[in-house]
Amino acid sequence: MTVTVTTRPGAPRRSTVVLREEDLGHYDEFRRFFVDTFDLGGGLPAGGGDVPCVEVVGGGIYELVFLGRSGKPYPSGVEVRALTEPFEPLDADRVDRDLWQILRWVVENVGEPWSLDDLERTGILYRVRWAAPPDDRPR
Amino acid sequence: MSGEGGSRSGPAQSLPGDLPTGRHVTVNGIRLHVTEVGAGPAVVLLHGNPTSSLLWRNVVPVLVNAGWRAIVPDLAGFGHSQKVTHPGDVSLAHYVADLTAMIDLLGLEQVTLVCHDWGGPIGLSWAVTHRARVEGLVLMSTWAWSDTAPFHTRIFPWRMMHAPLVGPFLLGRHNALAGRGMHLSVVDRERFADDAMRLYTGQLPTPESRLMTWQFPRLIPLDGSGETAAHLDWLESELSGWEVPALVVWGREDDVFPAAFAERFTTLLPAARGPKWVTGRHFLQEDSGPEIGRLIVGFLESGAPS
Repeated sequence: MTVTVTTRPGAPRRSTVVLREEDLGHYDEFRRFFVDTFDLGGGLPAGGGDVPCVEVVGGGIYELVFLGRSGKPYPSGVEVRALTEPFEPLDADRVDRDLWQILRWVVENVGEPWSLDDLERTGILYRVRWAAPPDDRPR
Repeated sequence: MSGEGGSRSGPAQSLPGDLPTGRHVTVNGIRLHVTEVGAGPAVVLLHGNPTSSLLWRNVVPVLVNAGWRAIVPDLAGFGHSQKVTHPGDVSLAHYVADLTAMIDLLGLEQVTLVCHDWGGPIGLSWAVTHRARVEGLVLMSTWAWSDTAPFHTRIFPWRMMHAPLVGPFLLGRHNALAGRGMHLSVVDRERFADDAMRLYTGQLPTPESRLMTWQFPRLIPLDGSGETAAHLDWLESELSGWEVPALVVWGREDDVFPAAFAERFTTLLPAARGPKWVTGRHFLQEDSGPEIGRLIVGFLESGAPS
């Protein structure tokens, strides 16, 4: 598995939104993946609870901030937020590479009819450089 | 499928660039950009996703030179109009209400509508609720029913492209629909890549500004249920049997909306002419803009519209 669930590092970090999904339940199996993985079945905890994080290969850590909206099952959305050293500029290329790992992790675990193969083919069709076969992927 | 007009071996079209800068009007709290060119009877040209009034740049000069007044809005979220920032803010009904307000604000009494892609359900919804003001309809690569084209039911590439998180990544961070997506849906890809593609992508400069490029795909009903499906079912029933003058123009190479959709319009609207087939995939205006303009002028001048 290229992505692991973790907790926020203790050291100070700057949190920057790099991907925002407002309608996680558009295909509800995606929303249910997050419910199951982060035990969100009880809805938003009083006080908001802790912000879960994921770590990708290469060491990048990303917060997952779940969003709620009246009239929609929780979570209705999610923000993926890059954690960096407080004054460190964002490396957009690295963020894209890391986000692609996160998308692979999500789609693989959402399962049928969604497949990693279809994600990779879609990425290749739309010229996402990280969607190349593993051996050809930029490092 | 018989061909009529248009040729892949014809002379290359020039790229005159965007239409003249128009003006902004505020409707329903949204700032819309609308370009008005020429004088004469009004022809309103409606684009879809992820384009803008730019789509009609090679069609409008033909209409104007023939004595028609072209009114070309940018839908909310596109072109020079205000961008949409939250998906909960829009539905098909919002776009119809915007068009209704814009036509009234401009004081257009009699209108011929030219509709492409989402411009179809939007424009046709206005038309069936303002029948006495409709001079004619021109329809291309669009639909008006709740059953979807096979292309829209497939996971690869369509549903994956706008899936949760994937949509904001591919279409948001990477502007994939206005760039690569359009590129794949024109016939002369080299010419498109050399000029128009940068204009389309440039109109959606930030991930936030591209929201509607994945929100519109999410509005397409896949199982015949929901608000948009109910709207489209109503629209189809309203259109059925309407004796409105209409022209159907379709791309021979269209692999998004099949030829059967073009034929379905001619069945739905008994007075419809066509389909007239031109060189083009989904964005047929990029390959056959002037020819489409001439087909529209022929329709307008044939006496179909009064």
